[in-house]
Amino acid sequence: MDNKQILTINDLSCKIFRSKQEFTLSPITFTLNNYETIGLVGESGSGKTTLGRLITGALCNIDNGNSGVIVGGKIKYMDRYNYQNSRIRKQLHFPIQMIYQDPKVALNEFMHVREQIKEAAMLGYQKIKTDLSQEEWVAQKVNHLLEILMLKDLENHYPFVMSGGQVRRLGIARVLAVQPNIIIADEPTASLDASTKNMVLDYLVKYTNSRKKKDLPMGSIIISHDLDTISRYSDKILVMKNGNLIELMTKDKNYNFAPKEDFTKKLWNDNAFFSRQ
Amino acid sequence: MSLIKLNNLTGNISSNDSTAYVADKISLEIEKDSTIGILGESGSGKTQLAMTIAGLNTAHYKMESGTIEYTFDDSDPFKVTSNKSDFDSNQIPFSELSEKLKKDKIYGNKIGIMFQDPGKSLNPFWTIGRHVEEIILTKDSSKKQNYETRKNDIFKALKLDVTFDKRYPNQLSGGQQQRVVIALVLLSEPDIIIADEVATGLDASVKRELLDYFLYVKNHTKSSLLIISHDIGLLTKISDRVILMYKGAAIQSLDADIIKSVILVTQFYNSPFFKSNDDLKNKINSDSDFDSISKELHPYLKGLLRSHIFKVPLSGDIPDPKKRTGNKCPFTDRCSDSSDECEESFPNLKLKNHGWVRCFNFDENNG
Amino acid sequence: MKKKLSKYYIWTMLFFLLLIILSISGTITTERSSLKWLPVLSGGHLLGTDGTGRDMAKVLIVGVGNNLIVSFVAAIISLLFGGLLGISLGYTLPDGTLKSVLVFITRTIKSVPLLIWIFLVVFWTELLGIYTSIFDNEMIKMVWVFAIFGGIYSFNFALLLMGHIQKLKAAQFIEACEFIGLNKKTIIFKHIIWHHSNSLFLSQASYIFAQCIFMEMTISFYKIGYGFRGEFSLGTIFNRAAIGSDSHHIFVPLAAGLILTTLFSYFSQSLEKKYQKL
Repeated sequence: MDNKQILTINDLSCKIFRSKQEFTLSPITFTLNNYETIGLVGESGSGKTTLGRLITGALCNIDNGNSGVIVGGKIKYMDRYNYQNSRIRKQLHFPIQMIYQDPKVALNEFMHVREQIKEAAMLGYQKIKTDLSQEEWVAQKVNHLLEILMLKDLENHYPFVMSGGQVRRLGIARVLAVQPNIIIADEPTASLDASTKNMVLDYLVKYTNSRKKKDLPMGSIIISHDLDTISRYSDKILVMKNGNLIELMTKDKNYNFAPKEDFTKKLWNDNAFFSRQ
Repeated sequence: MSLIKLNNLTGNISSNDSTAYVADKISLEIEKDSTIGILGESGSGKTQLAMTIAGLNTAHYKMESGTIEYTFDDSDPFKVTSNKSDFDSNQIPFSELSEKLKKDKIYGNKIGIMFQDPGKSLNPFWTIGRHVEEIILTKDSSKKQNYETRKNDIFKALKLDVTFDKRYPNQLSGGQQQRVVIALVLLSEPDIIIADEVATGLDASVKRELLDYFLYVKNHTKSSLLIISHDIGLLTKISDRVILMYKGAAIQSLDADIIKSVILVTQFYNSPFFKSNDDLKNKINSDSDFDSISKELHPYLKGLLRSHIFKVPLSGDIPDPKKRTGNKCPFTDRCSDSSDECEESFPNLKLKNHGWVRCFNFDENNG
Repeated sequence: MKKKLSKYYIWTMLFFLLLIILSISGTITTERSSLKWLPVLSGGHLLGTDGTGRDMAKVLIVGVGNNLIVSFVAAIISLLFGGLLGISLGYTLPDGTLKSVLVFITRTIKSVPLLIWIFLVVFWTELLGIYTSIFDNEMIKMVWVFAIFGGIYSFNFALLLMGHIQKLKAAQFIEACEFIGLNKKTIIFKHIIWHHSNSLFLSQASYIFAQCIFMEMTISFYKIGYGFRGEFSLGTIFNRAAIGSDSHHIFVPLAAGLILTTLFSYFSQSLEKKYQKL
């Protein structure tokens, strides 16, 4: 299973025509290997979220049709499936999941925490192989997630009474409950302080490691403008600007990233300016 | 001289379903020509503090006790208090603060405010030039020429081209919008500018530019800055003083330089250069352990810095703002240095090195 | 902290329950005395008598009961048909000619004043009555009229629901549900209708009740004469008193009508505030 390409993006591009949202994403090519984390960096408006939604298929799902969006290129999942085909996505039970930037939008404000995770876990059950019944497995999974994401005390609460950080953890719990093979995390650390940032990304690492132990495929794409955190957790970094891929970097033998393009070099220096006093 | 002085401010925010206790005996002063950073996690009450000072949450905020004093030039000083018996001409209830700030033309002229999303502060149907005109219209017509000159100077300093006058907000990038908002706020020369999480969501390059513009405000204008953020890196770069908040309480006020030096020294001691240099290690006698380097800092700030430098998260979770802290230190449950004393009471301000701290681990000194 | 059941919900439910009990009991107590213990019925003519000597209180209960029956029919039809249309326009139908045409028709129907629709419906019902004997039964005729009213009002409701779903879509909530793997049925019934829109549905139901009570009194007014004539209803009780020039008997049905309309309106607004807030 190691080093297998679980996601291959070939010349993926899109053009959005809808008024107020015109945007062009130039052709992008990269691969995500098994147990790898790719960081996607760039300022707001560079196309990172658009790329993420393009991969999950959500971008083309607007208003039940493709109105206003033209897509080019290919997305290959597990080296054999065309992930752009909605029927295939459904058949595979949506193995590529997105953790949304604003966790509140993806949650039902009127369902309590336990119920939301349970609903997601019931979908996750369809993806796994186990001797346990659905009820048993779901209960176990829900309890486990409540525990590790520190939501046990909040299990009967509703999202609208929870703080931003707690809602974010609930969003992560819901996605992890679905047992995804690829997680695209959109700005998972936005608005979070230094401590909570690291906590959130540690969960993703723990999930990846647990899947590795069970020999199950796993990969993540972290979308962020926070270079510090991204460079620590990523194996590869894609730098984007105005819908274009500026540079694709891989870690050198010292586990550092060495930018070559001017734009990336400036970004790296400016980041160092803040992290090193 | 303080422009704004808070004395034991305690308050809560209620909605139909619940109450959040967002301020717990906060005392702090914002002096003229100073730059203060308010540091805290989300849920610490820092944004509510800014909203309270600016009178923007009068509809939902209930002031339980304490006072806020406002002393601006060319304006009668006044106090906001919760004690009904004190209401007179220069003491008003919190519910009237917003009206007073409007009536006395303090909004925009004495207090300027910037929010996280600059796009939301700009009217999408107005050009930037129109925004400027609207502000100048509110000023004394005899001084119109002064404002025109001032506008040109500010735009130049913030690298805003003359062509911006004719552009609409949606034609500008996020960074450009941010600069426009700063320019509009500066136009009125407010005594104090409150910036609430303005660097959140910006990448390093845009953040660095923003820092430059704030430094311009700090060094070339007489406005005081109150910068609210959870970003330690940014706050230590711009602030003179940092006030740390946790669960509605202001728990430490210290020179930003102290935090900077802790970060610098720690990074130095952990650099490959130092670690491989036995000679240097022998010459430097002091303890290179992080705990010893950071002993001026409140345990919570220590934890935040540890996260910032070593990427190790603090244990535990931020406490629920819907539960009152009661008579104990709000950080006790997550503190590795706590004692029984901390469960029983929450100490008052202890002066320490040009600042103060509310923690039993510190002895008072007048240094 | 469990979410407290909003006091509006509790009061609305209790009120509806009370009215349902009254309306059912109303239709059976005119002759039988099974509810004689009710202070209103047992204390002699507490509200006086109507123009023909009948106990006003009894007559009022039966009348209100009939009003509620026709209002209930209007509300159910409106919610069912409006709900179906709203969800189709807001969610299930893909963008295209069919959807645009349906939205156009919906908006057009909504823009015509309701009273005009009622008059048209009654006119055609009367005409139909010449060819069929179903409408000889006044209750059936009125149920039919108010059912059509409910149908007309459902277009209004559909637009509201469509707008609400569009808001959810814009907030990416629906997208998140679909891409986590939930099927359309679950999204529609569990998330959209049950969780997100329940106060909208209840608010609209309450609003329709308020409208119907007032509408019935208007069309039954003897000078218009399109509503109830023989059966008891707030309108006919009012008419009897008006014809008999009994001013204090006019007051009772009028007051009852106003109180009911106001109460239903109040519930509707409170529920709408709750729906909008969240």
